[in-house]
Amino acid sequence: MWVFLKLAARNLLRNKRRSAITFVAIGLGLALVLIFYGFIQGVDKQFTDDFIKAQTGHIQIHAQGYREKARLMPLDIAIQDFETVTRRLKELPGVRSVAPRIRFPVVVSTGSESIGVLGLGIDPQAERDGIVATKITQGKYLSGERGYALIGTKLADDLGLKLGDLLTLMATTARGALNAIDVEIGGIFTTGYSQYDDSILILSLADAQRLLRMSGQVTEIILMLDSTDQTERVARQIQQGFSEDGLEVQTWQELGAAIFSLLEARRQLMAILSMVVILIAALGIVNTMLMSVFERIREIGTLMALGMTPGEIRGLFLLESAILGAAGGLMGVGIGGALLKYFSVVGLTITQASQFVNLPIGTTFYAEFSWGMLAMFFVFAEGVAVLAALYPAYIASKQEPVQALRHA
Amino acid sequence: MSEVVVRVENVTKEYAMGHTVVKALRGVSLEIQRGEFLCIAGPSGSGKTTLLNLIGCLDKPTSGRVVLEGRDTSKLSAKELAWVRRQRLGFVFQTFNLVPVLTAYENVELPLLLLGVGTVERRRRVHELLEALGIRDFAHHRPDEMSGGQQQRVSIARALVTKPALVLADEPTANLDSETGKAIIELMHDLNKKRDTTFVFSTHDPKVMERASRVVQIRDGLISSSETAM
Ligand SMILES: Nc1ncnc2c1ncn2[C@@H]1O[C@H](COP(=O)(O)OP(=O)(O)O)[C@@H](O)[C@H]1O
Ligand SMILES: [Mg+2]
Repeated sequence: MWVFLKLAARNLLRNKRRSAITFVAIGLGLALVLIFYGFIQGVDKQFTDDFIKAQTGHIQIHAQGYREKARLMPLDIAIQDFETVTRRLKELPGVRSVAPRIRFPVVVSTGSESIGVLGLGIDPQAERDGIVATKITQGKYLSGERGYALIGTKLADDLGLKLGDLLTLMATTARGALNAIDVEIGGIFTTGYSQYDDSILILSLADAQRLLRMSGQVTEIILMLDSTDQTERVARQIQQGFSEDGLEVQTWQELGAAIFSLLEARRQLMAILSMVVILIAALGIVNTMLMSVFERIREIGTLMALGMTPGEIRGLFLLESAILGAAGGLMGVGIGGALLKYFSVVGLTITQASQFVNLPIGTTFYAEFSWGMLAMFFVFAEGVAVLAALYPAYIASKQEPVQALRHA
Repeated sequence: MSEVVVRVENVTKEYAMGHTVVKALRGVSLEIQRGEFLCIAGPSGSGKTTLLNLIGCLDKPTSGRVVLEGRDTSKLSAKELAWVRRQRLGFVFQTFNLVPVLTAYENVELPLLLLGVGTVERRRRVHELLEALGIRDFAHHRPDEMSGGQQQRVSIARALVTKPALVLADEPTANLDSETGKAIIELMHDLNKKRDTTFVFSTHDPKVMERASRVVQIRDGLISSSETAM
């Protein structure tokens, strides 16, 4: 009923300063929590996407027993007839790309210097949108032609190498014999990830298989999916459909469990901090509303004499708090939403890369922004405001008319 | 032909004050007829307010019954009592008790809004009463912009606007100077005559009692005399 809304609104205006302080407390508290949330969401999503793209892919497949010895990069625990496996994987719904690889230790010799790095044999076609292919700064990506290698800027600098230089690669084959091939530096990449730029050498799968005498074999297959949400489903399908092939299937969550549990812990810490901020704002509302009830005891008695029921008295004070909550909510969502929108487009650039997550230097973080999120936080503020007013409103409605009217 | 609006039957009221019990009413019986301009008179602390509160369904007796228009009010819940007050009663207070955030017009309109009276009818009734009480010019003033006498006129308008069966006024002149108080009593008397509204008011001022159609004297929680004016 309009009259209740009118009474509630006018009563809020009666003590402007107190209402304003509560309103600002709700607004700023909500803005703060909203910004926390938007940034955590954005950064986590960005980090997850990044992690998947640069480190693990959505799903990794190895021959049975490989993961256990992964550190040693065993070439004898390989996926056989990888072309058939790859073809079958490509047919699964939701799979965007299937990238067979061989991962192996290799010694790079420039003639004057030798250094051990990580070798990666890739299918150039399958990884043409990958982290390396898109970050070639000199020369060109692998074309499928034999005898070319890609290296990172840092490695090139360390070894004093430039485009077109010749290298000798030496490695132990799957059978344990030594073998060597010569390659030319066809391209140099700068990904920003130190583990790529410092110490990786990339070859075509064909060259790697030639060097390691592993024709028809790979050590891992990396799947990228259309959407991260489908990871579990596709992983299950592979486990079922390839159960006889002796393969191990791992998702990015499993591969990054240590890091993701850290992210989760941070999310929970933020949730607790948010709760504290909200609790403080809620206590502010409780206090404001209690003061409002206690200084209007006689007025409550009058309204009761006029025939307002206890329920209507309660509603009056709940409505008052709801208006405060809505006003504060609008302010909070306005300020928080505007900042989030800004940071979701422009981003926040941090030049000092964090050590533990191993992100590229000069990373820009983008906040997550969505209207649904703003709506959710507004409703949340409103809910907190009404909940906080329950007790004061109850006190108001429990007044005995006679005692209330006698109140000085 | 007389019609009983309220029958107070052997009512007592006790208040607990810490460990002692205050007996505010010790067995009061009273009938109020429609159209009366009844004065409850007595010194301070004699029980006037207590009696008016019981008649006004703001409180319940410790023993005895208050029957309002044939209904025993002692059996009603807080919510039902609120509805009885809303529909059948009007109140005028010693301290006026207007809602401070509402204008004179809005204060008078409030009981009609609670009853769900339609816009047109509401406007008609509020204007008519503001006019009748001579406060039309203050319609858009808030209580703190009006004198005591003006505020009391607004509160009388507010009490009458729902056409209640009974208007209760607890010492309506006590916070006004004698001139204004007299004017207020005259006004109420006038409304009682012209509109046939039943009034019960309390006072300890002999000059105010003079206007009553009947004066019920109360002393130490008991009725000591009841005199009908000639
Ligand atoms: N709520 C209450 N609690 C305790 N004592 C009360 C209360 N209301 C009234 N009394 C006592 O009851 C007696 C009658 O009071 P009241 O009805 O207010 O008298 P009056 O209105 O004639 O001055 C007084 O002694 C008063 O102190
Ligand atoms: Mg009194």
